[in-house]
Amino acid sequence: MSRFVLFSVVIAVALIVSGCWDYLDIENRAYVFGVAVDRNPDGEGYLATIEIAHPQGQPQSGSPGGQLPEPPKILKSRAGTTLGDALYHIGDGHLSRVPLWQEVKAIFISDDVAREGIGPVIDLFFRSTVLNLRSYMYIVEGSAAEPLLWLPEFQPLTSRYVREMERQFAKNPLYAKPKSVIMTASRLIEAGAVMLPRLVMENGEVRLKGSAVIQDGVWVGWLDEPTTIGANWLIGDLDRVMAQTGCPIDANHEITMELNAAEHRLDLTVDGDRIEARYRIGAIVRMLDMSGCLLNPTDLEDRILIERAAAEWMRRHLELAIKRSQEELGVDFLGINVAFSRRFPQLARQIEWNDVYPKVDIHVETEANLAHPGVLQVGPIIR
Amino acid sequence: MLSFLRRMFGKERKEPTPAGQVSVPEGRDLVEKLQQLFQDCDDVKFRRLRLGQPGIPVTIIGIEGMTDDARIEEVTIRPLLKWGQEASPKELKHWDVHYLAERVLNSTEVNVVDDFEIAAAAILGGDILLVRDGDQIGLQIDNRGWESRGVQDPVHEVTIRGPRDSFTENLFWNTGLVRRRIRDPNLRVKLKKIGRRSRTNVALLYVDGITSPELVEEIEKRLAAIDIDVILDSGTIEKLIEDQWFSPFPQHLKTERPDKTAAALLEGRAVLMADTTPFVLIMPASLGSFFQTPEDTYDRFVPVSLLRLIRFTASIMSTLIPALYIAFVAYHPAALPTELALRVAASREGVAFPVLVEAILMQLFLEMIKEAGLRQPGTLGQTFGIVGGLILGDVGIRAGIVSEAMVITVAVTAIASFTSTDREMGTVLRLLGLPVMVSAALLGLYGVMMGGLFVAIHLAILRSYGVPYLVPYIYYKWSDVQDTTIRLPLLMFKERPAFLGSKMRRRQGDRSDR
Repeated sequence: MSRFVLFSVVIAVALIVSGCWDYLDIENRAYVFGVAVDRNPDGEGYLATIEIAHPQGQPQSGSPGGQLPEPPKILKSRAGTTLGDALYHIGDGHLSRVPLWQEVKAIFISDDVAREGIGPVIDLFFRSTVLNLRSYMYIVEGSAAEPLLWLPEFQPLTSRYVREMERQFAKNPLYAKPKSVIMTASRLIEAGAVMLPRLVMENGEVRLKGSAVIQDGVWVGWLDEPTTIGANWLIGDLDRVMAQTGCPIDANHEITMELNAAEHRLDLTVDGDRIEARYRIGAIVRMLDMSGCLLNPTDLEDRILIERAAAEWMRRHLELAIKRSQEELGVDFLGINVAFSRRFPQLARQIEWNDVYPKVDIHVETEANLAHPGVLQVGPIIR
Repeated sequence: MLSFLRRMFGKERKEPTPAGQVSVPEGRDLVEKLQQLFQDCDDVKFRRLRLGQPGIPVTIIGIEGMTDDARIEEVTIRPLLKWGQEASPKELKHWDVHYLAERVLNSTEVNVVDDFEIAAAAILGGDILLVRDGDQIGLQIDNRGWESRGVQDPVHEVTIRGPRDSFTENLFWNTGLVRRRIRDPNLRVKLKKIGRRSRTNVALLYVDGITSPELVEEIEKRLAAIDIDVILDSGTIEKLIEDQWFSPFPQHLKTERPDKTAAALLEGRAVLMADTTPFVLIMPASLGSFFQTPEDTYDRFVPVSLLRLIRFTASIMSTLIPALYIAFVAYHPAALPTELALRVAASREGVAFPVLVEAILMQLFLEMIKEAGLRQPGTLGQTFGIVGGLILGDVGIRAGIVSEAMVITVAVTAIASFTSTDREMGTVLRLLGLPVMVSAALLGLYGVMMGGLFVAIHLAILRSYGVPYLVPYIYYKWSDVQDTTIRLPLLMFKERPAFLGSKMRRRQGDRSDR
């Protein structure tokens, strides 16, 4: 008898602590992959748009290329006084399936919303038990919902397409390193400012181009692509980048190199009121294209010319970022304050970094080392 | 109604006389008694002879089909008639059965029988009985001569490398096949008769000095406790002597291969053979032993270890895959890779049933196809496979009864369950997937874990002749891990498994090392 009672208790507990009421077959769920946040055009609050995958509209193996049997995505929008109000009621009355939020890959925030602050978005994602904190955040120039209307090639869902482009960042970081909600929040808390990828619609296509600078949750400005490259390098997010510069001995021709990040060092010194930040940035150069440039990479003098050209290219980009950060925006999105507070914790508590930052003396030293001239060790054999 | 309830709850009155017990009939002599006993048994033949000039009446009693007629004539009738013609009147007047047994009959095995029950049992066992009219004693003459299948290739335990002989329905051929492999006088073969009516010959085999005496004693005790009317197969004995009758897991290894039997004996296990069945029981069994094949011993240890890992993993998969599918599809779709989740969702579109019903239906189809194919002749069986696999699967998807993902899930489950070397173990693991599936449908991954835990707890408390079922994975000795999910090189097999309690642990000398 006691065994029966024990068994019954175990089963009862199992049923109570679990959620058999959560049972819902997969085909009754709406897979939400993207969330776009715009200002409500009809008044206060937000307009939320979600990108839902149509399972039968996804490319299948064996199906004819590009021919999708069903529309690949469904968009649903709803305005709300708060973002939570808009999102949680987005399906009310016009979505027969239950949204599955854990699959959200990307959050598109319009620059209008970002100018007022991305705090409500981060707050909502952090408080929710169903929203995916690993979703990446993008700042859209213009309407955030517009990219969702676009049908990308290969991958019909804009959110997944944008997430897949993350792989390109390692090769050519022309935009800020994509960051999840958690990473964005932690960067904002630690450094006070963060760079998020900027998303624009160009010729009817989505493009990641440059970055948006967010300070204390509020948009403060854009960075163009060269400045973004320099900023990525100074922050330490950059692994390698393609550099194109003029041939050192012939201004009519250009050379293309791949610069692989090597040394990255930031030395901070304080001398009275004067704070000095000295960057030492190094790169290993892989020559990709030097046709027309009559230099011999195996010759020591020619090699030095190439390395100087690469170092100059690096310095130019790094100084663009420093100038934008220090002089134009006055926002330390490079994270020098984080290094400073680690190096001088007591002093960091005494000063207001935002006031001090524009006066910080920032120097950059760059060095490039041509390690891979290519399979062809000499200059062009055919003019 | 009352009698029905009594039967249901075991309150039925016991039979006054146990079945199979021979009550001695009235009769002047042994022949008359046997005639009465075997009345209406037309296959029991009473051959009457008269010996010598005085015409002394004797009767030879045997059962048609169980005796060898030519042999009866050669070793019994011809010598008797010859002796009757040649014997002196004095000899003919004063002879007794002892005299015949020692001086007249040619048979290798002749016993004097003075007990009616033994006489009846001898006849039923295939021997013949020679009785002089008026006597109460007779001669039991070995004359078994029934038809039997020869030694053939094993049907269920096919190997590519290794011996090709297998056990038959003849007990003594089977013991002979083992003796050919273990030419050791310490190989003991203890015969017993079990079954009140069937009186089946059962042989207990073990190697004295290697097998634990406690194990042998325990088996003998359990065999002695069997009180049943018929033993038709070793499976009947198995069910009567296992440790826990309610467990779905087999607690004896079964084999039709003499090489596997010999290996088990030399490991320190005991073997039970029954007449009329080609399957022998090896005991004690552990979970790991159900995933080993004789071929493992003959092949190289690296592929063998990998294949064993595959068998082991596949067997666990056969229990868990449908349940995991249900849990992920119904409760945790976000835990699936995105592409897979979308494909599964697409394949589930338009399916008429919830995923649990779909899974149960498919499992049911699978079992039906398997059962139908198994019980039919070879070519028809293949047809069932085609009908089931191709037509039911394809049409089932089109008709919206099942999804493509479920067909794949069930197909993988079926294939995984067939990787087990023991058919019964494979079936048990596959069918255990059903309650785990229901648990998954109620509680999601938590349910899968609960179901898995229940199975694991049951396995942990299960014993086979006192040996934990999960040895050496739990209660292990490092030396025993050498032949489990992985198999070490043969040179490292210095000792017998410790959990078998063998007194002689060492099995390989150092001379094997080079």
